[in-house]
Amino acid sequence: MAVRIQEIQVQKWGPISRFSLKPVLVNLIYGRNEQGKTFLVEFILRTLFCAGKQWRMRKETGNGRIGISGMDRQILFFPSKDNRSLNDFLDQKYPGLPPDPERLLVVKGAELDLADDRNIGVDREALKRYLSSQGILDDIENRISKTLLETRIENRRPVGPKRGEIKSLEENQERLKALDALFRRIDQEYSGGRSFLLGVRIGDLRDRFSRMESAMRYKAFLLSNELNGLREKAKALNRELCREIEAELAVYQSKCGNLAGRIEKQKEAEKASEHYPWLEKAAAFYAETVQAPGHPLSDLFLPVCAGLFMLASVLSILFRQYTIFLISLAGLFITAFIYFLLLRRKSAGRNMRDELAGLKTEFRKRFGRPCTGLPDMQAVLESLKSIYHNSRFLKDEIGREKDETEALRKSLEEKAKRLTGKPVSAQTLPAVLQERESQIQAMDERISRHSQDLAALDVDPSDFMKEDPGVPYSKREYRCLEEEIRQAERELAEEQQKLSSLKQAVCRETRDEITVSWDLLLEKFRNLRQESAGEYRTLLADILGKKTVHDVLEGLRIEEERNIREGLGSEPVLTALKTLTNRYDRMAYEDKRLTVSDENNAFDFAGLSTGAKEQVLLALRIGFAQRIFGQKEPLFLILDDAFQYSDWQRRERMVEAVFGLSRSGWQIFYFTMDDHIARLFDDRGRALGKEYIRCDLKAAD
Amino acid sequence: MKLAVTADVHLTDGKKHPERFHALGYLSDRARAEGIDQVVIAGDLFDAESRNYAEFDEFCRTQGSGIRFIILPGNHDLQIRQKHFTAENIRVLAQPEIIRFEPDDLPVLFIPYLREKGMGEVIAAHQGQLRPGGWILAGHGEWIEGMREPNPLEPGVYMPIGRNDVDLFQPAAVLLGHIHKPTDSDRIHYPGSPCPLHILETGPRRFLILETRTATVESRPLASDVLYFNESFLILPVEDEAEFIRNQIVKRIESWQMPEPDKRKIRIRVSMRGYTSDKQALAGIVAGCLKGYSFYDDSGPDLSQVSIAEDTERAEIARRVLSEIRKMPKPVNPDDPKADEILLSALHTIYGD
Repeated sequence: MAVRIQEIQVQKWGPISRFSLKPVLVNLIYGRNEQGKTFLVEFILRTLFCAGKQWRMRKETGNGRIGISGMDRQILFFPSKDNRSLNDFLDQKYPGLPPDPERLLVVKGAELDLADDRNIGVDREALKRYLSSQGILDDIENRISKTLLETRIENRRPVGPKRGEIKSLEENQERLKALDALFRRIDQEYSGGRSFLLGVRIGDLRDRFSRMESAMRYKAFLLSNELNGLREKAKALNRELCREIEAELAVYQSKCGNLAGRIEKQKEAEKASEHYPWLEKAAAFYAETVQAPGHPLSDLFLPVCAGLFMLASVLSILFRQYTIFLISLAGLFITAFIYFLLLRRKSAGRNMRDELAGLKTEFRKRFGRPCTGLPDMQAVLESLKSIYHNSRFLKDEIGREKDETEALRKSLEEKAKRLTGKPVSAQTLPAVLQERESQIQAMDERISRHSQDLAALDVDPSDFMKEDPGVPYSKREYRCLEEEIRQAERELAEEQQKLSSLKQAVCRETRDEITVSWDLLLEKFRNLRQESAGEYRTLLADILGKKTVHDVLEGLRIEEERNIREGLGSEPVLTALKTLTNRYDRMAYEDKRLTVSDENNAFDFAGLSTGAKEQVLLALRIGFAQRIFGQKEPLFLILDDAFQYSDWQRRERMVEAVFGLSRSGWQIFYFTMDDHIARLFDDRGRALGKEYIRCDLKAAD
Repeated sequence: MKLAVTADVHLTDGKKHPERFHALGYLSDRARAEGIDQVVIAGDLFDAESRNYAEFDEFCRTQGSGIRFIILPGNHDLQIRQKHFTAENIRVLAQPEIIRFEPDDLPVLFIPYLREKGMGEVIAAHQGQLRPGGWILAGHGEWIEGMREPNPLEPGVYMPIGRNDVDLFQPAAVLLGHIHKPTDSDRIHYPGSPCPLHILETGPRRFLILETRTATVESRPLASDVLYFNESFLILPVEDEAEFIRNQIVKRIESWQMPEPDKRKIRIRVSMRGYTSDKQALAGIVAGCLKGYSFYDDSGPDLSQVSIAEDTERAEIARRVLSEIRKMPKPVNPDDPKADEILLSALHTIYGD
């Protein structure tokens, strides 16, 4: 069903106060200047196509409507209630129309160009738009970026320049990878269990360590007590007394040594001078004997005196004269004694010579040589005298030293008894002292060991513990526990650090504060990942979809080129060309140049005269319009003094071509102020009868 | 010993959601048929708003008699305690507990949902009694590896357990509640809810059987009063559009693998996207293909994302694009778009919206 304008109603539009037209097949609207012809064209354009800017129309306001049939079961009136233009309806009815069909349907005077290129009026885009798949391919491809055009797909992955969508996809993919890596980290590292285990382990180790510490404090207490006990025992060993005894013993032993030496010397001296006393007596005797006088008393005197004294004694006893008796008795004894001495001297004198001889014999015997006389004897005596006296001196000294030594011994034995509690002889004292010294040394060693052990525990006495914690102290276990706690704390710190670092990494992604709870953080992170995956999926789908479309379009483009060639060589276009130009019967578009040809030559479109160009372009328009719409349903063509610049001969051909188009069912509106053109239309129109009308505009209409 | 394991029943009022009680009934029957007399409900037996414990109490005395129900509180029913029930065959484990059902069985550590606690932390507290590789975990929480896709029905993260904890403590099997979608990975199993709660919980339901001696887990199908399918179709204005749509729908229904008698239980949500030359005809074809199926919340197929496209040339381009996209290799990366998504994007490019 053909699309036709069935009604045009205009009120108060520029100079037009009222205009009403029920169009037929061919409609000529004639009006001189200022009659509102241009206003009427603009009204139609504005009302049907909402167009204005592209035709540089005035901003007029007014009322009116245009009714179109063939679009729906009923006549559609424009402007429509929903502000849809005729293009919207045409798009529905003729899918794949070029985006500006009004360029084909409306031709204003001196605006015959199809494209914006004013030099040639037609370009490849225009040709594609009107001769191929109505520009669908380019229309679709315009939605595909240049980046994707340069991209290829390998195993569902786009490979192309690192910009645009590809760059976005790669960034998105990297981000998704990073989020997934973080997810894996969460899976691997987020663990309440490990931290909890470490916490439990540390607690357990600390308990054991605490018990071990108590054991240490208890051990320190015990060691301290033992040390005190040892010190007491050490004190009981009486180290000072021992040292004192040792010193005294040394003196004692020294003295004993000295004494022995002296005794030896004294014995030697004594032996050397053993004959000295005899010799001294012998010499004295020898001298005495040689020099002795006789006694002065008679031999009877002393017996008589003795008899008297005896008599006196008897008498005094008888007369009880005891004093006289005692005196008499004393006189008796003295007299008797003197007499006895005299008797002995007398006897000695008698033996003197014998004795001297005996002395010499004895001398020889004692000294091993004969005595030559008293001088000899006195010389020997003199030589022995110093030895003898030295011996005597030594003997005295030895006696004194023996006393001292003895005193020292007694003192030592007394101290030793004090030291050991039992009698100890000086001879056994060194052994006793040695034993005691050993005991002291052993004690010292024990004290030293205990002290070292206590010091090693490094427990302040105020921290000593008196109660047994029930576990024995083990330095090794203590150290082990200490190390294990340190190790577990390190591991826990590492675990917490790892968890904290993980949380920071997740917070960086979700832009949350580190204080946010893990539950909330994980939820947000999960949503973030989902969002990112969605973006990635959408982007990749878009790229793959567009690229696939592009590849399909590439295939279709080959067909398109063929379509352009076919379009320019199509029957409607060539017929219009031949009819309008009465010369050219072929067209071609190669190397961005449109050429027209007659039987003999080809001509560059750009080199044609203005009139010829108008004819060619009008031929293209009519041909395109027929090709696009005519194959489906014919529409209407509005020509606003489109032939005014053509010469008269061409005008006839062009009017003839327009009427030829109407014979295909196309509705024609021609607006003109040109009487010649009007006459041409009137002449041709008469043959159409009611299907041709002429409407003369008047300002008052 | 064999235990039947389910979770996330979300019981409310029996009149409001009888199908959820029925699901427990079906489970009890199946357990009896399998010779199982212990059923573990790994959290969220009750819905968050529900305090109506009497109905379940009564259920356990009647339909559930002979079965012992071991109930772990979940994040929705954190408050439930033993004192809320009178039936003797109910045991609520409101605190973590290790149970060895038979002398030769592996111990099972039951962990209810505990607010602001991690699963690993709770396991660690019992570690001394658990031999690596020689125990089973049953709890209510989230397996971090499976967390990448948010669950719209369960926003938030609850008692997560990560690979680290599993590697550290080495449970022989882990059975968790909380995620309604039946899921199995490595040692981790979610039985899923025995009755779908939302149109997004699609497909047949199941429960798990745990052999506590060997820690083996087996899946068993479970009947449900309702089954949901949420389907989306991409429409192209191809020449044989009707056949194109019909084929898609038929194939999709076949993929459900639902026996004919279960058809009445099915509730569907259908959304169409893409371009058609005749929306009315499309609606008719979809309605014809899905005749006999009930729509979730009686909404009918959603055609709001279907645009009209009468341009045969663009349709031809779309057809060629579809052909090319079908030649593409299948996506390896789960985040990669599916063929339909690529095609939809291509259609937007072709039709320019």
